[in-house]
Amino acid sequence: MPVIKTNALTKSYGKARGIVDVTLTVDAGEVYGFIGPNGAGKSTTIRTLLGFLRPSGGSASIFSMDVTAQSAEIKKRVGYVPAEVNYYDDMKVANLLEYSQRFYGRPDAKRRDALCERFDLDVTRRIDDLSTGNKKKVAIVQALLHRPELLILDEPTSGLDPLIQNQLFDLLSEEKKRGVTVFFSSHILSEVQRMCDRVAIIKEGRILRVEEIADIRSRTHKHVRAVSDAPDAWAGFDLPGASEIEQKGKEIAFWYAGAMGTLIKALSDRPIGNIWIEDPSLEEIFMHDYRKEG
Amino acid sequence: MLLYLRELFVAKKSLLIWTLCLAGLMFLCMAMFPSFSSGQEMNINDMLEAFPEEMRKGFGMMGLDLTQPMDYFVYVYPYVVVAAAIWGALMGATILGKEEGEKTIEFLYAKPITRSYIFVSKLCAVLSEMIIFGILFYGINVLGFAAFAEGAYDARLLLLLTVAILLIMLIFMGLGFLLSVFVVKARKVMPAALGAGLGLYMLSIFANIKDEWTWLRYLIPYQYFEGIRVLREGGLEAKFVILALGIAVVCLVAAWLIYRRKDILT
Repeated sequence: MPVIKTNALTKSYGKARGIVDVTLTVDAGEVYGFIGPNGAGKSTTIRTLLGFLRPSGGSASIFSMDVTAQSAEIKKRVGYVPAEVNYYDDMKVANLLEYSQRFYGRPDAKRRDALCERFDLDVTRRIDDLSTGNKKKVAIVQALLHRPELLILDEPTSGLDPLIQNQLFDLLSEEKKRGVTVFFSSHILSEVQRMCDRVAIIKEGRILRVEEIADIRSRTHKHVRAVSDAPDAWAGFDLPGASEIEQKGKEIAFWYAGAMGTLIKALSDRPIGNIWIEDPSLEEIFMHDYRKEG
Repeated sequence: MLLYLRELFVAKKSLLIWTLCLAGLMFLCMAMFPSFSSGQEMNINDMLEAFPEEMRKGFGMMGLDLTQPMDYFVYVYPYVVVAAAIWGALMGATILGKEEGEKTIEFLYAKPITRSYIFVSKLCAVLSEMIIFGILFYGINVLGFAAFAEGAYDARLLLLLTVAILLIMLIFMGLGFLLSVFVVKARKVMPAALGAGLGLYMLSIFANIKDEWTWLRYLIPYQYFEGIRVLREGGLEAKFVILALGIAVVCLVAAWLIYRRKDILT
């Protein structure tokens, strides 16, 4: 059963575009990436799902409950990390975490202490004394305190140093094993590649496509680069399945979709000094697709 | 209850400061009452008579006997009412909007609570502050009368004058709530609250001078429960009590209906 389901979800701000016809389904236990450049509509989608914004059209549900009408009920089971963290400056970290926990019932001090220890959070510090990264850590901890079934993370790694990012990813892996569903927005594709099962690519408010990370990885497109010692080794090089062929001096680079044997055979006819056949990173795939669909 | 208690906790300092300022002002003025009432050198009422009639009418001094404690009280009273009205407007205008202005609303909205819960919790917190203020204001004034006017005061009228302040605050607070669903930035709300509080007071002075423009009374909350009128008539006019409550309720219901449906843009 899907945890998040949207159907032609649209949000416009007067004449300004927000999101248009966003349709996606996030299944239980899945880590779902939501990727796109800044201003593409990631935060608008998340804020509509959380009931901050009222949809202009379409529908959205979480746990089969309408995101507008049953928002409070939904949020009992959701943890949210905003892109930009703004908390009450007069509170200390401990006060904020306890305040947050009380909205869900009796505070669980054990859980709070364990999470704070994991993220090396000093709970005695005042919120307004914290760095951006430390505020983000507080946001992550408070989102996890009540053991949510769904985690919605809007650019969760921004402001975090690499060490803490790794801790976050480890924690998310553990939560996933517990059966938690994660909806994760980012403009950093390697994060999504690392964490997610599926990814939706959004551009200018519209979903371009939804793909399995495994599918993207197993695409037949390979990035090929070869170097030859002979000066005119690549003259007249052409191969069915090769695209975007770029030749610079003794080096040639291209994208290839086709049988490996044919590729090797075509290259072996020439005096090759070195060869690289690589799976493209998600960044490269994304930029490749983005240019095509731009 | 959680949000309500949090709001009360946050408001404690400003509640204390406003209460001390407003009740303290009345107390200090009462401390000067003995020198007004003794009339050793010159009768203060004769001095008042020397002012132009328009001025006495405008500032609500007509017919006041400043040697009497309650009359003296209502002489100072309008200034406290104006300040209390501004405070009421500020409370109403900032308690909802500050969460959006300071962007803490994302934290609050991610919790399993409805917008109505947020609205009602914050409204109850403001109402509680007003009631606490009213009790302290009344108590401090009783002390003032006891200390400086030999306890010569009418407890019922003092209570009604305190209730009148709360009713006027209620109107301004309701207007503030309504404003706050449209304007969330504190720096924009402050001038609006101050402008409304002082602007209406100036209009009230004008309404006092122009006897024939009685309809103006309905538009100016300060006119509903003028201290001198409360004293002379021995109570609050029922139609103005209903009007005050009506304005506050209409503003609050409108604010609630809009707040339930508005987009939260942070």
